[in-house]
Amino acid sequence: MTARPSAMLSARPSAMLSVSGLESGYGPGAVLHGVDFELRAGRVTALMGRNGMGKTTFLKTVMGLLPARAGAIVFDGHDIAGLPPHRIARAGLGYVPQGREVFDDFTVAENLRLSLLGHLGKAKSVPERVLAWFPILAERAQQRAGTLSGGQQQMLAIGRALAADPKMLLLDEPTEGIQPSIVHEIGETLARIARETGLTVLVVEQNVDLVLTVADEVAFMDNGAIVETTSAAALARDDTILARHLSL
Amino acid sequence: MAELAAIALNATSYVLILILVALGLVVVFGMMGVINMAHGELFMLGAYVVVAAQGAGAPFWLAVLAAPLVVGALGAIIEGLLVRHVYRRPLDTILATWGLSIALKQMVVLSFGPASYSVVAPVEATIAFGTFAYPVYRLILMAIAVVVIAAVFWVFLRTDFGLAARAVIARPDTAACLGIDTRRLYRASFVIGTAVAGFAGALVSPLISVDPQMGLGYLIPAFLSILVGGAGPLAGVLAGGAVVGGTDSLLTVWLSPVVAQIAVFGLAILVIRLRPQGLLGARDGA
Repeated sequence: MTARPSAMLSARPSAMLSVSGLESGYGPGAVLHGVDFELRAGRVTALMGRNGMGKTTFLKTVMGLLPARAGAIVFDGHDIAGLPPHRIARAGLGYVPQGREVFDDFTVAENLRLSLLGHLGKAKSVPERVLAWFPILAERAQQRAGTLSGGQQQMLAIGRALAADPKMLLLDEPTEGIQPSIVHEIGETLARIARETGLTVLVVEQNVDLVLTVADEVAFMDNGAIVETTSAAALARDDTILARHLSL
Repeated sequence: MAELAAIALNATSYVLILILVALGLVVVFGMMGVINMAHGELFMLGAYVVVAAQGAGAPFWLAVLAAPLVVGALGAIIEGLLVRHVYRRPLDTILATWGLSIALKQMVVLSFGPASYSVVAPVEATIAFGTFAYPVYRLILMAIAVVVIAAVFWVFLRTDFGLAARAVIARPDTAACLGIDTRRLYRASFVIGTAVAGFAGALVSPLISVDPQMGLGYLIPAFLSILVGGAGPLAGVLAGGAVVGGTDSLLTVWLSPVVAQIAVFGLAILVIRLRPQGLLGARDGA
């Protein structure tokens, strides 16, 4: 468990992302039925829940990949509902999609460069600290991303999002299809990044070990709504919480 | 021997023009899923820019430089009014741009009449290959075409713009989530494609008869070049253009235009049967 010093406890917590009454879905069907969710600045929150409950849909709607049919999405004080994805990204929201989605035919360096191109006016080169968190990205800079292992591709996807120096990071199942030893390494690195930078993080994850490694808070989604929010510490103490939300 | 050299040179100039036309098509298709049936008419309009300039007494080379600007500007208008509404819907794009091609042809008929024009080459000199006199203008055309093709490749393979464009081709949503404005890239790529087509039309105008129907004669082999070469990597257009254009122009000389057409279509069918992704095609873009 990572105990993080937090200034948020003293003052009134400020929300980095505040979602209310959010409805969204594919085609005629609704997947999200009024999501109310507030994420405080500088905190790492894990979003858990059974498959098909709307976790990925929620992230895609926040990023503007799916239109919000109702509700508000306020990020860092700005209403981002209805903006196209590139504007949301430029507002400071980094996104690591499910399945990593690295550009297989591009080199590692080109994958990272794309993130800088999307944020003109920001850093001209990949920040040193990103390469310090993921040294493999410097070592394999000229290698095609498609030749990396799954875990390395995940590090590239995370590094790519961080290269643009976002205010908040959204991760969709970063451990899916990755071997257990690397899962732990990615978890440790994410916890370190959050600790060192105070980055606000929302991670959709099924892997309880990873959640307990990185998260301060855990929210559960069921049938397109947030049904319970608890601290990671409480989750570690009480098995019944997980059983209640994740067992079939 | 000299005659053979002339035939080879003619085939080469045809292949290069075909590649110029096909490049614009393949970029627009790969990136936006738009099958642009009006691409041949944009090529035709490039030639008419030269016709209009010649009528006004303007120098040929000025007209050749103006053609990509005029046609590119028209491309920007077409993108804004028509094409952006049908992105990623290939069947709809065929209908919409087919309608556009008819409208553009009629526009030219109304402005210039249905008859054909001939453009005077700016360089009348010929160069002697033994007993054979070869027009210098064709050699200049080939040199310019090579430079423009290389420039298009450089833009898409070596610049940041090209990196972002290829990213949008491969994974549009992911590129957008990295902050890349896909709309702006679509528009810029469409304009580049149309401008290159207009430039090709202007360049080739002294060699052919300029008439409202000339676009189709280049559009079909350009499409075949893409099918044969593969729509994935840009280099597929080079291979496809060489195979389609080379076969067509060589067999036209040695046998007959009809045999050449049949051979080209037969070849295209064969390639599509054996290698559906094209000669150089891969499953993923870039």
